[in-house]
Amino acid sequence: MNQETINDLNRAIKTLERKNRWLTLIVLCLFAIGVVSFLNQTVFETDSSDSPSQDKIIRVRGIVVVDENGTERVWIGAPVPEPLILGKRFPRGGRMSGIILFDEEGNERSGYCTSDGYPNVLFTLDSIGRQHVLFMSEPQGDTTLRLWNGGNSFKLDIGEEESSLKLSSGGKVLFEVPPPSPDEKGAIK
Amino acid sequence: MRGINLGIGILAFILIGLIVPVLIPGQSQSQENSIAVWRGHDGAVTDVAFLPGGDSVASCSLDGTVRLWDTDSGRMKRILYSCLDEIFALAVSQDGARIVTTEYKGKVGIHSAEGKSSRHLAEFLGWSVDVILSPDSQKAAVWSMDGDIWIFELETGEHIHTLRGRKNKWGMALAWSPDGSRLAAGRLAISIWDVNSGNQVQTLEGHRGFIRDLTFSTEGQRLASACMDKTVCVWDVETGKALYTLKPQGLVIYLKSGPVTNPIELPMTAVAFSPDGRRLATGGADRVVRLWEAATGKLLREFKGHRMSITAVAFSNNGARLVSSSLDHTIRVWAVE
Repeated sequence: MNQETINDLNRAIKTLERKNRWLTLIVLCLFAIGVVSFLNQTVFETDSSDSPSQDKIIRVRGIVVVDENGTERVWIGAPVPEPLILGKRFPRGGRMSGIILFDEEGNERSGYCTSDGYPNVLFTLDSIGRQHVLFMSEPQGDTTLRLWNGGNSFKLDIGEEESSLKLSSGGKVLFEVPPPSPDEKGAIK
Repeated sequence: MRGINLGIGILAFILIGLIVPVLIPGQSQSQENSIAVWRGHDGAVTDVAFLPGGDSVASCSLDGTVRLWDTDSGRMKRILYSCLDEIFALAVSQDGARIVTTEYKGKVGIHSAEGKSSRHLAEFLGWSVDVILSPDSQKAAVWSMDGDIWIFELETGEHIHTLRGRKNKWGMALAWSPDGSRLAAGRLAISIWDVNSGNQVQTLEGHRGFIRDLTFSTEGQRLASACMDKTVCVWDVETGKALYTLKPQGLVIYLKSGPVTNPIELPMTAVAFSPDGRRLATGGADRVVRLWEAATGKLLREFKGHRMSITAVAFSNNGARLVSSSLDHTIRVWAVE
């Protein structure tokens, strides 16, 4: 190997070393930018109210879940809508807020709500157009569970002073505790 | 060679799959005896009625539209009216020129059947879910939430008369007698009013739920009521007695294998007398349109095909056809004869 070749190799090595330094610098800069971007998205942006985040709280008056036919199946709202029964909508009689479930035809079938005005919390199960289960707690603590269908019913009331239980079938009382007073018995007959 | 055989096999399998369903209709198809299914509404169809002459059918829907359909072709002629609110009921004027509707929270709309104009009556203490027209189509009646029945002059929109009901006791079914003298209003009982005097002249009691639909027979002697208590009742208007009560049974569920009928009773929502008064059509949440002999209550035919509850039934003027609307977004046409 002659001197000229050695000199050429030295020049080439120096050129490569220079390029390597630049490349190293560029890679470091890109890495730094990446780190800054990552930190920017994961740490700093969580404090910004405008950015999307998994922790963000949605504040809305209502959310509606619809099925593939566009029928509303779940309503979470404050208030919830007026009930729809077999294609006709009726006034609810009082403002309620909470969750309402609808069947595939859009009929209201269940609710888990609080009522405005008198602050009861209640859970209901309905057939088409008629309520059959009510589980309710009143603000002072009185709690009721009622199940009924026509003349058949079950009623459990839990109050601060006393509790009561009543089971009826075909409009007649089968079981009742505490027993009704004589006046109430007369009223039943 | 093996690959070719496999390819032929797959092709044959696909062809058999395509041809067999055409040659051998499924059970669900053979059960569907409607002569036409009209699709177009984007929501539950809440009411339907023939226009005089029978060439057209009007329908309204929770999708906020009133549509006019060609009876023979089933083609939608036009959207008469469109709004953001749900539309619950309609009534067609005697000359077929106007269609009156009731919308969410009691807005009453009057629409030209030509689709040229729409206007609304002045809002009343609202939320009526039914609207009816007098036989001469000069007046419209709605049942207000305050319990009163408000009668409007259709031409001017002026509130001309009030039938005083029980306070805050309102219902969802109204019917005007063919001679225009009486108006029936159904809640838990049916109240019959003398329209001229404004007095309640008759109360028909027997239902154990909210009455959903009411209709007078053509001669005005009978009144039929469809009720949420799962029954349809036919009444003698003069005596106030129930002539008979129908309690249909059988919810139709459509599975992949075909329709299955569950022997349960469900609310009845729709009732109509045929123009000659000899037949009665009913519909309900059981998804079946039924045809009955009006004099006896004998079941004549069952029409199956709707996938969801039926909301209204109506006969054509000659009584040969029946239309029904449903929460399944469709209108179906049935041959009565």
